[in-house]
Amino acid sequence: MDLRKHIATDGIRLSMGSGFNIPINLKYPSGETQTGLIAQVLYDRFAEDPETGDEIVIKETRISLIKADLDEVITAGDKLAISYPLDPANPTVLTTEMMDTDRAPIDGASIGFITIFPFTTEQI
Amino acid sequence: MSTIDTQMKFEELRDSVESLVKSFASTRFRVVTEQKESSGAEEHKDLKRSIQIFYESGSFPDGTSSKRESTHEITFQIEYTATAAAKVDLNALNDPESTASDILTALAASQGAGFTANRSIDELRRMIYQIILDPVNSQLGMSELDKNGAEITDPLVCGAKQVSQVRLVNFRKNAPIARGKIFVLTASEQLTCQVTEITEGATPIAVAQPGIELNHEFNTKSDADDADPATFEIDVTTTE
Repeated sequence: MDLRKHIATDGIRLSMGSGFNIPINLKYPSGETQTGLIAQVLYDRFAEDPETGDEIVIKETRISLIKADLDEVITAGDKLAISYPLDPANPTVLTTEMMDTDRAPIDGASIGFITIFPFTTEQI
Repeated sequence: MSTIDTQMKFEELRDSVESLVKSFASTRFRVVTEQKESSGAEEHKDLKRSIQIFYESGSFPDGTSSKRESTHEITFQIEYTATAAAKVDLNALNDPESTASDILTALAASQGAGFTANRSIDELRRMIYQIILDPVNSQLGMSELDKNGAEITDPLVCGAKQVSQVRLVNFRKNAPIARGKIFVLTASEQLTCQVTEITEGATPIAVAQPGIELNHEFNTKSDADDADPATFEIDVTTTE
């Protein structure tokens, strides 16, 4: 068995199954839409306030996707729209947000996942 | 009231500057007039932008205890904060009837939050500049004074100026704060000016005038001499 291939597909899929199985849709800069993707979504994270040392909650959503599932390659600076549930308890209501163009996605060729950062988005 | 308890000119000016800026704020921006601790991005989300303005520092370069009047060089700190979200035609993106071409067009026309926040701070700076350096506001909301030192209320009458050398200096944008899903951009600037402070001194809080020693002799009445034994009476004799 190709362990690397297994981790990049089935292994990640299995690790995402425990409560982080969030449906999302992508709209690529080419205009194409991809629906039915499954992602691991982290809605916030804890951090230390550098000024006070207090623990604070950063409302920063991170969406991790399996690269092998994507129809198109996502690169830093792409104008990419992501539809995902803002409330994981209500996964059928999707909200569309843009990928943060000022922040590069995190991805690694060896593991095969990509993490993107959606940004609060308003009607133009 | 002792003069130590009355406002100095810089305090009057502080109140005047706050009122002046607030009178132009309306829905354009929010005004915070105290030094705040760090605030959350959500706090600036609805109104988008705010300015903090407060008396930061001051000095008396020609002030000595032998002079009754001295120039107060004042610095107000102005902190600008703007937050922004990304902008896109969400209607086009969410419409199931949209074609790939429609979506491509909508995405291509989208604006990043950094662009919006930068423009927002630039607009805010323009507004503050136009308010503070408008010749009509050269006294920063303070009145001119007549020969007797009384405030002139008639705008057509000129008098002695209370505020001089009004300048906006050192505008600088800070690095964007990359936290969360809202883009936060801050900037700072100083408003400097001069006023004349008058030293009137302070009256010490005392019961008696200094230099006079008062001796109090307390004599308690015994109940036998007292007309009303239920009360406690004291005879006080004071001599200089």
